[in-house]
Amino acid sequence: MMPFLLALLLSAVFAFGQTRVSLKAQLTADERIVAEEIRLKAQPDNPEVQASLASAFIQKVRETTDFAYLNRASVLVDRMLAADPQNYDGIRLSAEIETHRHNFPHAAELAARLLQRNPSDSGAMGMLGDCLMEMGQYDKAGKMYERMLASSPNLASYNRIAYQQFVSGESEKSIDWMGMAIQSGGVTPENLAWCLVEFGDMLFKTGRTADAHAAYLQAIEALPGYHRAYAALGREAAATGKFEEAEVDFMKAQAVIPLPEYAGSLEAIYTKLGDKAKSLEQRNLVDVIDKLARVNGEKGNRMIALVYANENREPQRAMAWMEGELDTRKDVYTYDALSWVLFRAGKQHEAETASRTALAMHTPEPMFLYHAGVIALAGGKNQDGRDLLKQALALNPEFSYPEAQDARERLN
Amino acid sequence: MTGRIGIFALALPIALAAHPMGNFSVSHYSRLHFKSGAVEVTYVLDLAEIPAFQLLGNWQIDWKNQDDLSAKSTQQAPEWLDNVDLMQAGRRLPLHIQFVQPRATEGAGGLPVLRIAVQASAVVKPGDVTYEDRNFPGRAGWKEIVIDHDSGVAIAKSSQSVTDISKALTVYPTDPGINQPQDLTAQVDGYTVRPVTAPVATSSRHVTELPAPVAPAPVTESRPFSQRSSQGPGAVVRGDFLSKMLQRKQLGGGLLLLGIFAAFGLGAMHALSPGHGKTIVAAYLVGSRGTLKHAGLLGFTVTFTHTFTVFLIGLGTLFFQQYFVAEKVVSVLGTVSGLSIVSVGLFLLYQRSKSLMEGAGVHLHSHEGYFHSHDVQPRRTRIAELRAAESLVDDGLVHSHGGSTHSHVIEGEITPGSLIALGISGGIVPCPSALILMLSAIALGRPAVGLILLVAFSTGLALVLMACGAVAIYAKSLMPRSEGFTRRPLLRLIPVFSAVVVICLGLVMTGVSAGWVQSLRFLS
Repeated sequence: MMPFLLALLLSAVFAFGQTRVSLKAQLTADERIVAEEIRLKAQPDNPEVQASLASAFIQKVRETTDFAYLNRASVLVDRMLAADPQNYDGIRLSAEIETHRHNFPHAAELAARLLQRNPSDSGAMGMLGDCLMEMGQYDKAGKMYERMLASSPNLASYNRIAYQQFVSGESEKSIDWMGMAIQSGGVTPENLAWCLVEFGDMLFKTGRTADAHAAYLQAIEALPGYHRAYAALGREAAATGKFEEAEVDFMKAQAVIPLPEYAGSLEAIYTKLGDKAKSLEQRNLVDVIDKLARVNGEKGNRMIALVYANENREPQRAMAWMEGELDTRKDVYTYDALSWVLFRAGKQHEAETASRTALAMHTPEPMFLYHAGVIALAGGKNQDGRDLLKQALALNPEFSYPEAQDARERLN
Repeated sequence: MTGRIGIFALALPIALAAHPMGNFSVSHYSRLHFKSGAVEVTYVLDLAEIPAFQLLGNWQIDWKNQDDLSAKSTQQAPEWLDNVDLMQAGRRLPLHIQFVQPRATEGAGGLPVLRIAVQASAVVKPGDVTYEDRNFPGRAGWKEIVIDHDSGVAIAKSSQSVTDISKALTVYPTDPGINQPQDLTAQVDGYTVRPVTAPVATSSRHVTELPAPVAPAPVTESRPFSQRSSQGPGAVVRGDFLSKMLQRKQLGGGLLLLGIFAAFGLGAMHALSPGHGKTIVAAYLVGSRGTLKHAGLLGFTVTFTHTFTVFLIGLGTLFFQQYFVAEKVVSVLGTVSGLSIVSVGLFLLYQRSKSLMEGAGVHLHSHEGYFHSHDVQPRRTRIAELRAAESLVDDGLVHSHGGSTHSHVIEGEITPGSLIALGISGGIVPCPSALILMLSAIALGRPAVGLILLVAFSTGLALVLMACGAVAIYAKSLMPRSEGFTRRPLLRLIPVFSAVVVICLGLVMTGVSAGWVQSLRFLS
């Protein structure tokens, strides 16, 4: 009898030890916030409770894009680090906050410090890998993600490997990895929904529109009202000529968060539908977002820059946003945006250089190829330009509205 | 492709200016003030710079012109209230607007922010009332509901309290220790118009017990957070007979008996689905000198453990719901169960392998009497052996010669410890159906009925497990009894093999419960 009771006891201790963190992770962000706030009232100076609440606030930022929560998290982390500048959780959360603020070099430095202290911290590996990706250091990022994968094979590592593989031109492998991330399931619905949208995007960009559509719908199922999924459905609908549907989807996304890219897409859709007033409203909204971002001290924003470049206006403002972005972010997406902004600003040579950098990793992004093709054609490199446009259309003949249509017209 | 987990798609402001909830937030505030025969609703929306810009764009007015602002707000208010559901007994209570008060102030970048207050009222009868605000779904912001009442009326229970944190969206505390409410739904139970003398209680924001002099206050709501917004009170088990029965105000003896039968049947049916240890029980009893008594003890242990576990988890969920996730505890218990099954299997493997090895060396005997040893299992006591022999005579693998009985198959010992450990392992992981049943019963204030139904459910579950064990024992008895057959090496390995099966199943169970193995992938 005794050996069995002992085995049961040991198993219980082991299992509860294993799941102490998971118990928290299974709760939604709101549930975690309520629970941790109650704990904080009882133990206001307990750094462990402060860290748990800050972590819940950060998850809430991911779910709602409400940066008021990031500021709350920041207040808590500042308290933790004021009490103990070497507090491990405090530094980890500080790195997370810096990542959300897109201060990648500083976040990378903090994550590296964490790894020096604890080389097996897979969360720190993930953060450092993310920062390296954003800084365009893909090889180092890939190695960091592999290390993370060996340490923690789960959604967090699978989806990162998938992204790294996609950027590196391995579209099939990336889809497989993202599939594994989805299969492994997320600790929060938002994590799973995020992966499903990424999965759908990978499929859509490589021409599997129906599968992508299904993935976007699954994302909404996983996280009802998920704005990224609605925006993805809107992009897909617009690309396939269903503009009324696209309008509805983008409006749903914009109702949750008015991102500049949603406003830019809606402006193009309303123009196509012949609704000049609404199109103008969306254009004005982009200007308001731009103004608020500047008032709030934001330095770089490639999304606003791209919207301006797509609308072929405000070249100086667009360039200012790109210069700020380049201070902290040097990935292929930044260089693609830069090439397009430079091209619109009439800087042909610089645009071609940036375009080459964007294409260096052979990322299967039809928009990269489209931008590069248009830039090449404008520079008199007709064959290169045509080849690039053909490649974009080969990936997905309806990769984006109005770019796919424009690419076909240019080829004809 | 904008990034991955851990990276946010947009670099938003480092320090948010002007509006404390963010430039694109829409904050909501509702105050439900219950009076005699009516409820007054103060509904406030606070639109930060971007939504204010969008709304003013639709209205096409200059925000500094107060007359225009008032006119447009008054025009818009009924549309907003259309998305506010004040319900009683399944019917929407019409809200009559008394006045609308808009106020525009300058926010970040010289852009306006809008705060619009709508005062409305509705006629309400005694009973329960629900409230839901469906405006600006999914948009970030402060979402607060306050519930209070005149001294001439009483509320038995409400989902929110009288605490007004934001003072109708005029103050937004930034202290991380002060919760930013996210309430868009409310529930008020037992609204009555009898006069009361006790003051209004102010307790926690989520569940507030208010004095109710007429009807006794029901038990504290125990629904998990995840179910609060999606389901009505007590509707933890949707649609099935037992849940409907639990929700009845009066429970007669006949109905209860019917419920017990239903629970028993559900338990039995549930045991037939994969993953209830049937294979493990069968493998154990096949490899051991299992009898129907052993199968019975096993069944009893399973019933007891299952009932105890579910009841404990139900209570845990009730009292520690903020720290306690029932689903996760189930996976923890699954891991515990799996590991204990592995340990049982390892013990059996050791015991039976040892017996096999020793048997190979010592059990060289002749039925003509040249050699004969019964020291295959030296630790076995003579009394136990005699008792075992009595029950194993029917066993096809046991035979007698010269008055002495022994088996040629190396078998494991049935010990109370291993039997109870196996029973605990089988019963410790609660079936979700039973757990939901218990939670429903607790939520509806009927833990005793829940316990009775749970015992019936567990008995049904255990009976199927016992039946599986009995079938295994019966199947074993059908095997040929000839000595030649029982001395076949392959047959002698069956108990060892069954111990390996127990270990493998325990490992799979541990892996699945701990999340190391994907159950579907494994099954496929």
